[in-house]
Amino acid sequence: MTIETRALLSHPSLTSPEAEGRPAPPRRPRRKTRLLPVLVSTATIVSFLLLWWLASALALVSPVFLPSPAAVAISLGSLVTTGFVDATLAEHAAASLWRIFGALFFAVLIGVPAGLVIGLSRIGKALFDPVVEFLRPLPPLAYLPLIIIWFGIGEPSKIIVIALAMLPPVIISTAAGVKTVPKDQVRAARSFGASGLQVLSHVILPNTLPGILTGIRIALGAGWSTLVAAELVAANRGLGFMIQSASQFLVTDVVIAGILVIALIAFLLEGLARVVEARLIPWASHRN
Amino acid sequence: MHELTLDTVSLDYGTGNQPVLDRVALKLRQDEFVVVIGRSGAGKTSLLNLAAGFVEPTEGRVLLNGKPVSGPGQRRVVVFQDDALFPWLDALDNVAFPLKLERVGLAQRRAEARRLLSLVGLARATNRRIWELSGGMRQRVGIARALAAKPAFLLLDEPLGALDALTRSQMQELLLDVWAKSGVGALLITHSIEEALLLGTRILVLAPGGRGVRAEFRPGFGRRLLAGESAGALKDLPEFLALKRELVALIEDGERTELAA
Ligand SMILES: Nc1ncnc2c1ncn2[C@@H]1O[C@H](COP(=O)(O)OP(=O)(O)O)[C@@H](O)[C@H]1O
Ligand SMILES: [Mg+2]
Repeated sequence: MTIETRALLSHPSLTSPEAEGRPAPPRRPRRKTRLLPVLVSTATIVSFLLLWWLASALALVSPVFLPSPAAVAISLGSLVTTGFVDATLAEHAAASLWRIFGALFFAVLIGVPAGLVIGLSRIGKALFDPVVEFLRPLPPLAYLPLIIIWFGIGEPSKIIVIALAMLPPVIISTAAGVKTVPKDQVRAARSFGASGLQVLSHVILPNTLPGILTGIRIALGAGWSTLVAAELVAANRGLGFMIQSASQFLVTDVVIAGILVIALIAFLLEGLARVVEARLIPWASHRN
Repeated sequence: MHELTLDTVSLDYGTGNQPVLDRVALKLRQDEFVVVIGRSGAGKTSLLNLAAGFVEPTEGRVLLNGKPVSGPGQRRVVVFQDDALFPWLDALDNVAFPLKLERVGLAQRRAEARRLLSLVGLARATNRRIWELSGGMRQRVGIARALAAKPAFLLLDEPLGALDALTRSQMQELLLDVWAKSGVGALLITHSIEEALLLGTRILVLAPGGRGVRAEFRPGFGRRLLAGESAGALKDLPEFLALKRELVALIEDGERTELAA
């Protein structure tokens, strides 16, 4: 849910006025309506697995193209224990995660201040907008060769490419977050004698946090898709590299296992982001 | 005793229309409860924003104790209709916020915040999240927070405008009580004539079209309310009803001349 729709949903006109001294009763989770979508989703997954199993069991497709679920499970097990191309699954995953979070670190380090400047000043917006608008629609793979020419084929190039892919969402979401700062909160702080810096740190930054976290979530998604591609070029570790090598040797079960692991990690990261949001900004869904 | 003066101020938002406020003069003493009343669009908020220092007059000066001031702060604190509380802080830390800006230590500022919360009748809501509070409770937190900044003047822009009738009349008495106990000067903006009559030591009727203060009244009902008379009984007094009629006529008449102009 975007911040805008969240703000819309919590708009006072949409919530009933409460009697003095009596806060709104805690919302009771609605069991039935929550259970149904979960059941349907589970059914989708189960039928997908069933189709897959059927296709390979009836030998509809050659195992070279589509290994059976069991074969993939076995190869997952051996990936964990003995590994593939000189590294275990954990080592490949660690290499990828290291790149993702390294890139995220730089994307946040640069993107959040840039987004703040864009959101806060018209000149700042004029300054950074061309950069963002140039970068945003560019597929990262388009500038990867240039980065490699400049920075070589080592680790920095990969991290830079991923960070560049993460930068636009972080900048844009941060700038959008600044726009949600209620004017009266700023004025209240000013009338309490807050300095410009205090307004920034005590009013603007907390209000921007939901936007920043949204940006990080989008950036993680963008980062993953760039990562796999970046690891196709000159890597010797990483999930993308693992898949690429496996595909060259037609070890399709490892390819599929790798895809599943990437999907699982992306899913876990999304879950982590949700937990962080619930802990860090529980108020965001309540603000008016 | 502090004194806040709007010295023949004019305000023009630069939209090419006539000025929103045209040479308006206003003097506010710290022992006063001044209520500004007028139709919406009359420039009440603009007047308050000038007094608060959020906007600078295009003409004239704002003076604090005879000295020109510019910018917000400096003993003037604002309470907004939309509470403007910080939802990431609980009630106590919202109230302690102005003290945090002054780098008062945690224990000391929380103790002071607790005292102010009980002044507004919220002694038991200290650790509540802002979104768990009703509209009236939020405004109480807002008032306590404003007082934490140790203002000489409390500037209130329709703080009770969004409350239901019952809560509103409770809050009117609370506002009056806080004013009497804290010794701050109050400038309250409202479009409720009864509220103005009950609370104001002085009522200013703002004419539309920037033509400034149209009339001034000094009703004494606030003192009587503080002395223990009931708001209901005061509102039934013939002199209350007479003043109310007069104010209604003034505000409606202002509208008529506005339309004729
Ligand atoms: N920031 C602004 N820019 C331009 N015009 C404004 C601005 N704020 C208020 N106005 C105009 O000034 C007039 C007075 O507004 P305001 O002071 O909010 O009146 P009130 O609070 O009495 O309803 C209105 O016509 C309004 O449209
Ligand atoms: Mg107004």
